[in-house]
Amino acid sequence: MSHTDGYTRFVNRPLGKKVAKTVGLPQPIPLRRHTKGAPLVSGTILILGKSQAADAIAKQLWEEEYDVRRDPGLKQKFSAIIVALDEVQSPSDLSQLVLETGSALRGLEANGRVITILRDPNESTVATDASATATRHSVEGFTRSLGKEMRRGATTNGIVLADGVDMDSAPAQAALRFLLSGRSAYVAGQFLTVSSNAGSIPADWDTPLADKVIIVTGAARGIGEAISHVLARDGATVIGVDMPAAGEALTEVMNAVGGIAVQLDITADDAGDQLLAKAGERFGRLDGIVHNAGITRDKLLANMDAGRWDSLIAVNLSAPLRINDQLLKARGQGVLADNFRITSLSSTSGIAGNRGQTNYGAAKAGIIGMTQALAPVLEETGGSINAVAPGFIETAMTDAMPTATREVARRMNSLQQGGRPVDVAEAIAFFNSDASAGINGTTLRVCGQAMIGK
Amino acid sequence: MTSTSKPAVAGGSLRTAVVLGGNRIPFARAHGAYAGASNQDMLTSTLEGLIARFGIQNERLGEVVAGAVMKHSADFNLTRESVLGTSLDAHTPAHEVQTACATGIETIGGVANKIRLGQIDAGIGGGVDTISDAPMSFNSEARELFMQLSRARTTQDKIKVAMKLRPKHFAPLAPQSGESRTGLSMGEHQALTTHAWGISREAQDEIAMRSHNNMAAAYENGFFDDLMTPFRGLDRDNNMRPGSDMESLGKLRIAFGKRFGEEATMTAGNSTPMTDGAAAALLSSEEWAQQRNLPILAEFLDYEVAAVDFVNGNDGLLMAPTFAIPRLLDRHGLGLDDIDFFEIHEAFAGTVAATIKALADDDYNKNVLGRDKALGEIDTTKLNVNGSSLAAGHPFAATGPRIVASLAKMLNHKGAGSLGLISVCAAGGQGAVALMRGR
Amino acid sequence: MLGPSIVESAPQPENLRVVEVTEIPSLTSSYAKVATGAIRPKKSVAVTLPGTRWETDGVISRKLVDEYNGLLGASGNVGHNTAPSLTAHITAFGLSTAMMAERQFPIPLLGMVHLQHKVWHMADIPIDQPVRISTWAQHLAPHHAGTTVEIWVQIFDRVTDKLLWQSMALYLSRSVKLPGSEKPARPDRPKFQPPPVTGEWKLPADIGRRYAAVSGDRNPIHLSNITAKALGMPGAIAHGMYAAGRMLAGRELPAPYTWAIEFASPMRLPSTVAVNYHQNGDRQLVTGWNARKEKLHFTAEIRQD
Repeated sequence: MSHTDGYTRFVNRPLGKKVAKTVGLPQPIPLRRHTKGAPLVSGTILILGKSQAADAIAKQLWEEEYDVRRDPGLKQKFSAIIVALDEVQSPSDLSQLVLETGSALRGLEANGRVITILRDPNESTVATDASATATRHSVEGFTRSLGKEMRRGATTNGIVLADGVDMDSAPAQAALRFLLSGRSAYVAGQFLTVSSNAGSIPADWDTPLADKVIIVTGAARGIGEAISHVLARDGATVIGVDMPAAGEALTEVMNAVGGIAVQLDITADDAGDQLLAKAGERFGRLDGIVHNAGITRDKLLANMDAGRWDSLIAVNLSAPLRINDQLLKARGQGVLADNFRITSLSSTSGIAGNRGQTNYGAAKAGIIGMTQALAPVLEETGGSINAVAPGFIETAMTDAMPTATREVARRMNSLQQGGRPVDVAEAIAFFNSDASAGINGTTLRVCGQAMIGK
Repeated sequence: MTSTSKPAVAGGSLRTAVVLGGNRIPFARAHGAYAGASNQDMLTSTLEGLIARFGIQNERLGEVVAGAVMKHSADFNLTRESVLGTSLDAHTPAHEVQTACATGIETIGGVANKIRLGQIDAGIGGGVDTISDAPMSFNSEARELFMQLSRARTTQDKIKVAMKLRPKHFAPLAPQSGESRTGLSMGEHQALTTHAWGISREAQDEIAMRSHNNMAAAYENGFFDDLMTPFRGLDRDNNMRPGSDMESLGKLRIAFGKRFGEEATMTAGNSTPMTDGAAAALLSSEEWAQQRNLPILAEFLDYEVAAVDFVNGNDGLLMAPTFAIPRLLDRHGLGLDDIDFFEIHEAFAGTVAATIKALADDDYNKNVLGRDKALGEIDTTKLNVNGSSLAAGHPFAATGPRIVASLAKMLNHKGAGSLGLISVCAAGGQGAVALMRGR
Repeated sequence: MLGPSIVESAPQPENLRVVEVTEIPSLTSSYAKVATGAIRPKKSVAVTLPGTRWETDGVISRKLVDEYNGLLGASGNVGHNTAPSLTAHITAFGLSTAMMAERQFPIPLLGMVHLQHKVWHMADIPIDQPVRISTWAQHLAPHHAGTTVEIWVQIFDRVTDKLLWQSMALYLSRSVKLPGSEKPARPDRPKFQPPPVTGEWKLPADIGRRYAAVSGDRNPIHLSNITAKALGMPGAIAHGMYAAGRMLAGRELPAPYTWAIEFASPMRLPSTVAVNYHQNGDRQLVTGWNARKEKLHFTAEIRQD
């Protein structure tokens, strides 16, 4: 399916590289992606800033025997640069760290990472402090803009800490590890907001989903297939759900990941109850559900018929809402885990809108709303709900797009290439881990910092 | 029974064999959707779907038993080859059974018996058949020449033999479709029985109509959602005609029994077409299922086989179940009234009607079956309630597992203690019937 | 129609002069002999039987048995290490035919109609073991359509001289009339009422050639429409003895047993023959007919002795 696209292969050969450089074409490179047991980064990590957060990070990485530097030094190469801007109070506090970052950037390796640490600009504690609020927002703006200056597969992302959240809390550590590692290959110019210290450190960071039972809807192919593989790789048992008609493909995926195939139309009135019963009967527990199943029925609104609108809303939005209701009713009854996770697929179309996708955009924006609304409900017992909004992901669906449209869509982002289903799956897996509980109600874009969106 | 108690074969007591579920691929009319699929393709896919449904990847099962009526000589180890192509532990043994259309009941019955005896804890019984990829053979003269060719040692000898080959030697012989001892096709045999029992065209068409409409309704209700894995673009049996009605069935021309002229009743509509497909059912001991938290749908209680003397025209070719059913029910002290679901394989609508009529006929019971009186009436509202072979089609060896899996689910819904009776007639004047109880 | 109505005279091989034949002549040579003989005018042939019986040593070969079983498929006499009943007939037929092809024989071979055939299968016939074959003709009798003659065959174990197998074939010659005899009236035959169908034989166009290849009986009337028409037939017909083989296939009984077949009308090639098998006590009765024309082809019987 989604191998490195032909253009990316071309510009990574000597001749292609020369041609692309000469005429100013995009120069995408193969992204670093996580494999089981791989380290967070392979080289030196530079930590800039003297905040508590910076110290916490340095200590944590040091203990894990990573090559950590607190000073850029001369002509040093770095795999990652972490900029702790969590204690800046006024605009003038930014200058030194920002400029240090700039000079260190020359040493940033291909597929490197820049990660900024900041305090939440929307905190009520600073709401009346215009200078502090402005400065926190400035860090956001800085991070996004720097993201667009990245080259050769490198990315810039931020970790937003709510006031009272420590950098050595489980969710903050998890966020840092996610952004450092190849798991976040196609996440660029984004922020992970840690709103509480909730979460626990896993026994083994390599199998963060050990013993978990997670339902994946739409698991037969594409992104759902990748999610199933990544969840299983991280230790989970997958209950794969898809339409009865997709059973042949679902069988293959489930047999490959050692999961269970459930042929079920998720728009059925009792789909949630059925899934809960299945998980309870077979495993006695259910730790999460991934609302991945979705359809597209593209048409300009002027030409939209009821069939296209209603079926899409039913599958992409009404079904997840109904299933959530049915599952959450079962809280405290033994099967549903207290720290139950809901993760859903949104879309950049739901954030930025997309011509010909009024139905899809509505549903995917609705997912973001659902995620925000249910966050406090799940937080009560230590769970979480988050959404992932993919940008251009190379799937069979995008393979079918007209070549010119596809080429433009593919390059319209900071990484100058399409993402892969596995990139979305990594984000989903991250939100399902015990450690990430403190990240709740968010929507993470996995889009290579696409040029569209708010 | 605890896992420490002795198996029956080592002096312990018999265990209960339970059906956990089943799987099949949609059945396809011959030379259609599965024209390029081999028996091994279809059986492997069916097993893979079953494995995925129950999450038993990498399990070492006691045995996988399947069979095919139409089998290539190269498929001498068909089932084992299929098992090796699945996600099961490669240490899972396999063997094959062939008793024509009753193959699937025999494979499941054999697995159930081994479980009951304590020889194995879990196994799969299945069946597969393809008409589209049926083996062709050469005439005996050609076979003899090919054999000589393979025995020839020198090139000169080989050329000598090869020179004897003529175009006529390459005309393949189609697989034999009739009974070799009578020369009559199965349809013609059934036509004799249908006529002898005076089964009307309307009665047969009604059975066909009900089969199609019952099965279509079952699909609409999602009954088959956890009994089937789509295959090669099909997610439903493509022989099924939802909305079948008496009028359109009544227009079809006579296909079998033309010798009866005005009294001929059998059409393509009330006869089952040639079909490709595969099906399988997962059985185990109770403790094996409980250890894995797998659902127990039904118990496979017992089965009985019978054969008739059709060669001398004394019995109808497909009437063996009328011998087996009373023997099986007697053994368990049961009557037809005790049964909640009847699953009578619809080789032809006439087979179903004649079977029902014969079991209720005093003379037949006395003179042919040697019983005091008629076994009784079958309540047709309990018959093939989710459709049967007239709608689904009938890939010979796959029909038994199709029925066992469906019936297990129906009995489980009906409730613990409910009873189901399966009747499958077969070529060669044989038949197999089985008794299952809901859990 | 319940079985054939065969009445034979008792076999009378005694008092016949033995003609010792060293090797069974091929059927083809006998047919060739009568074919050329037929051109010559046949003058004043005595209407008396020659008073000889022809004998020879032979074997019922494994090759013949295998080919015969192959022709009749899985329902032949497969699995028994003894010769199928009809292979004894095939083995002896060359000798009988050679005898009938002799000029002294009162009835011309060409144009003889096979009416009935009866076999006493008295003991198992070993394969590839020497047997003694004896054949003679007896009992010329007037018939409403001409004259009939019985051709008998006996097969003995060469070592023990035990009679293993005996057959009587009744032939009709339309061209010969016994002098001084009263022509019997044509018997009243009730119209054939077809019994229930219990089986069906598809006779393919090449079945005559295939039976000829096994039996050596390459009588042109069985081989193709062209060769049959050359002899004045409307088209090729099946060997009568092939029908006997089909009706016996899978039904041969442990010796001793008897079987018989009575031919009513020829079976055209290709065609489909409707068949009825009926068990009546120790008798298996077989009827074959043309279902479309409701025309009887044969009745037959197999009986345990």
